[in-house]
Amino acid sequence: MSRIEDLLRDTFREIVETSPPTEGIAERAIARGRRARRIRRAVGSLLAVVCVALGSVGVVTLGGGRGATVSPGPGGVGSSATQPAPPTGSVVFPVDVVIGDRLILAGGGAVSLADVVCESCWVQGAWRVPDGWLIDVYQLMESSNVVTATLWYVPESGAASVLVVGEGSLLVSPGTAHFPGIHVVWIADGRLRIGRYADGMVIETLSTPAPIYEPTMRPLYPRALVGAAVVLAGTQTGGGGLDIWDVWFPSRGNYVSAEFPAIVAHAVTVDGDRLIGQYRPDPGSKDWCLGELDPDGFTPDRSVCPSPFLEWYQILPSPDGRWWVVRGTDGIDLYEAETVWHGASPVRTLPMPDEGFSVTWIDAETFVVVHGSGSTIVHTDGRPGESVLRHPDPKASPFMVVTDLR
Amino acid sequence: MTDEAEFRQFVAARSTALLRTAYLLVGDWAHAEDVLQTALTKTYLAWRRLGEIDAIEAYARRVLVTTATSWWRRRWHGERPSQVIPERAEDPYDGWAERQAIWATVQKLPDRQRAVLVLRFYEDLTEAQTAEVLGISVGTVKSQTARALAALRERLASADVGESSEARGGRRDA
Repeated sequence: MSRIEDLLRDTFREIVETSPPTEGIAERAIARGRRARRIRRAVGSLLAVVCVALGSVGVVTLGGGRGATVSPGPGGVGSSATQPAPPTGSVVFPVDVVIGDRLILAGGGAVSLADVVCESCWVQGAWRVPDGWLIDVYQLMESSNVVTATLWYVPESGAASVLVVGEGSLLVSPGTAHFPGIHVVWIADGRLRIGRYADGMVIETLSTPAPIYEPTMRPLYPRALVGAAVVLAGTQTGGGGLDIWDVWFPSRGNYVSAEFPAIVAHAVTVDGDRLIGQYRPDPGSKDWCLGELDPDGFTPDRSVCPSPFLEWYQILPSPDGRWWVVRGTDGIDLYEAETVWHGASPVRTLPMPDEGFSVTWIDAETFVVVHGSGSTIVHTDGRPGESVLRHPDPKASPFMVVTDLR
Repeated sequence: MTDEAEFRQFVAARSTALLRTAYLLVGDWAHAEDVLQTALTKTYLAWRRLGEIDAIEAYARRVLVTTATSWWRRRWHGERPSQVIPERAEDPYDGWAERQAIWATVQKLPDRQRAVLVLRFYEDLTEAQTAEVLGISVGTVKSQTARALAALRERLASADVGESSEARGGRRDA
């Protein structure tokens, strides 16, 4: 056994030498399990219908069939950067997807990102804009223990260019009524900066000293534009999760650190004015409520208590806000959004893929579950899913679904 | 004994160990408890079909690791801060800087590499067992382990560790 392995064992043993008690954890797990069973029973028959639909009726499997040879999609890219079609058996997705250093276009064709994605980088986000794509590439800086986020503009034709370089993370937002149009928020040179994207450029419009949560001097990073506010988040201490949520209203001057609220943000409402998130009904409460939160004080405009979702669930509203796809513990649930506030169960539940996956809306009534071995299109009206496209290598490279901001 | 009584017994016996593993995977006790809570909820739901205790523990560990790595991906990809290893009063200079550097580097590793290290060198799983827990091939376990250990070696060989050791020694001398 090598010295480094010995050191590693010693380090692991030492770091967990004193662990907190786990009292009550069995009872909480049982309570959550019972709740999950109730939901399962409620949607059981629907689940069976969906499984049958996806498993047999509407599924097209590729590998030698449709899409085995990929041609440039409609309205193709026609760019010098456009690559020949992937080899036989490669994935064809219904949405643009970044896999490794290739941008695979919906319906076929690909754009090389070799100039954008370095060996020690990973793609953290990708967006379709009217004239190309924005690609957010993260790189861990070993020397400073900080991630840099570089936002690249990849045009439909021509060479990629760097738009901004941020510290920690950056935000690309479709905008709000107060911040109309696509906006980018990032931290650089000690300031939090807001810029508007247009025509392959980001024009900075506002900035403030980089927000710090003063009691622990931890940095906060931009997570969403909501109404006239920038929602910020960061870690309270040395942990990896999001502990602190706060807000900066540019119209009120520079960011001022204050007592942070106990919330967990999940999404922004379709109108861009409210945060969909969970909050503690009382200080010190262990319970969470789900609410549409006004960023000014994170007060709920509407709420349901207790929250039907756990804190780490993901909520993805449909483009018109009618539906929510909720990525939970045991499955992917489709809710009619309005009914959530009245305690309703999901109208449909899809089984959780065994591997990493991403969910994104294609239009107001259709979403797609993309995973390493293909994708599944799901219609809100219950029609069978249209395609599951298989990849020859089920352990395909990590992927990132492109969000369409056009 | 009822299923729930057996489940409580299992949690009483194994939750501390699982919580420690979760902590090594996510680097924060509060979030480790969240991850463990999810893993135990899934284990509870699967209790009847899991049968023997070995299968239960393996299932719980697998869910724990999957939840920890996917949770990490979903929630935060910005700064990955390091946590300081508590200084030990009896011999604060015996390898402290090295272990500190190791822990800081482990926290910066990609989630899968970190999980591989925790399973191999904390849980003492074999390469095959680690591959099964993570749902990857043995070859991937080997390559991920090699990369992670290389990163640790590089970090230890860097000037930072030496400097911090010297600085600590300097304070002792003063």
